[in-house]
Amino acid sequence: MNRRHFMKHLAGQSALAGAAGAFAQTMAANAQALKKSGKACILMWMGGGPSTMDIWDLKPGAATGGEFKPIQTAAPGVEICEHMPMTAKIMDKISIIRSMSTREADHNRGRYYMHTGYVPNPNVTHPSYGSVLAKTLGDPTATLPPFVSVGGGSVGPGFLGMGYAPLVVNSNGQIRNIKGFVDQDRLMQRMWLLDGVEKKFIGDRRGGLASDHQSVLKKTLSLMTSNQMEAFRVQQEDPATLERYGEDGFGRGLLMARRLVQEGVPFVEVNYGGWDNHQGIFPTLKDTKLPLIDRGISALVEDLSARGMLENTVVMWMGEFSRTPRINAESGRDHWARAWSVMAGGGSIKGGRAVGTTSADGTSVTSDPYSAEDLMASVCQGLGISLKTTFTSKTGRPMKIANGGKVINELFS
Amino acid sequence: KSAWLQQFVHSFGTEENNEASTFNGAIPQSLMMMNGDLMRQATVAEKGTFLHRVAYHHQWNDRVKIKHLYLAALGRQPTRGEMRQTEQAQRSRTGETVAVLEDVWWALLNSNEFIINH
Repeated sequence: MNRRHFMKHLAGQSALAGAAGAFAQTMAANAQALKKSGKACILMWMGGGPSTMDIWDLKPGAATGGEFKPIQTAAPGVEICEHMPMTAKIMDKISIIRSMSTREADHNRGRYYMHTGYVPNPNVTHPSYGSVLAKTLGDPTATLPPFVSVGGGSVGPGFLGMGYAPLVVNSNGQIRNIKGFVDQDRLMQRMWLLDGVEKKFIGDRRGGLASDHQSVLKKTLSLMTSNQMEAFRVQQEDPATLERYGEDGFGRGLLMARRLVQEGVPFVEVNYGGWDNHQGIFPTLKDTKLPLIDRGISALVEDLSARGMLENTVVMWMGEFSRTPRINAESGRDHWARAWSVMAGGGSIKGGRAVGTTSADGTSVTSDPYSAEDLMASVCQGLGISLKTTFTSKTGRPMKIANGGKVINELFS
Repeated sequence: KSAWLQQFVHSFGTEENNEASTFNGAIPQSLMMMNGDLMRQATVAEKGTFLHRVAYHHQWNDRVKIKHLYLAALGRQPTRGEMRQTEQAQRSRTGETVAVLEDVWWALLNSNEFIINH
């Protein structure tokens, strides 16, 4: 019983049932083309809420301005933190939105909101960015899962169903339980026996659950035995590349993201946490966190650009919120969602922009405020996804892809 | 069996907090069921295990052993088709009866029927 024989055998079984979880979607005419277009998104998730006033939108004159100074960048008129010199050099390729203003300053709520564009609701669990884009951009016949989360989990697929849950990988490329405990031949034998047992049950049952299981088993087996698993093995890159991205979890995660996108994965989330700096914020940022993200962000953007991938890959950088302009008694900053920055670029998003303005002390937005929904709408625009795309939750209510968010025009003009 | 399956449910925390026994399509869950430590321990016929007792039972022939595995996992007898399949497996691997029983047991524990009916 060899693998090919077995897979053919399985293919003859009943067609894939609908994905677990009820959904229907209306798609724009170019939706099918979108799936094969190679469009992808890489989200850099900064868990804890990074102080964007110390990174992207400095206020050197203010009493709340902190210890860092701004430096000029490759984008005329746009200045960022002095501890991000490599990123300063590629600011012509990416943009900042400084006028984010949101209302969720709690870690869990903020994380949910920034990932879904919806506020937590006891009746519905909304799908994460990754799940939404995996569903919209992913090729259902692909072996690699369409949503990968590196170095930590993400927010889940909600009503889109577990078929769009992230595959969680650590930055060494290890996926839990990917290796079987018997050899290939014996595994094939086992799958053949399993298929025999499953067929009977599928025949007996009316529901799709039993055949859903079979289709997932098939996908799992494909994943375990696929050559495409090599995409996770970052150490195959040449030493210069490994060094340029940085031999840390974040750098390796970004390099893995690039490799996965090359293999057709439409969404990769790379986690780098530890930003909840209620105490001693400035040494933490200066000595550890900023040099690391500076190296990683610039490496990724340069690499994507050099490979001609940036025009099809949206890159995003954000946390659940930012931090207070006021410095507290422990030389830290606390949570602040009223005025903060995110970074977005790639796809059809124009680089070199700093969208929006904030007050001199950094406490408020002085131009049009933007929400998570607006950011999501802009990311969709950047990827060529129609904002008319809807999904239907289990309650039967249609939900728009970016929850009615408006495109941030300054990113496209 | 319920208690044992619960171990899978708990060691795999789902975002949804659903009963993970309603098989809901996750590859990570599938990987754990197929390859996880619990499954490995459960499907090796080591002394003291149920599988060992069945595999090395002096009075039972192969057919009876298979029936016992089906009864234990699924609460039913194997169908003719299933029985034929296991016999084919045994023919193709003569002398490896215990290994084939391990394979059948693994298949039963990974089946939709076992997972959904727990």
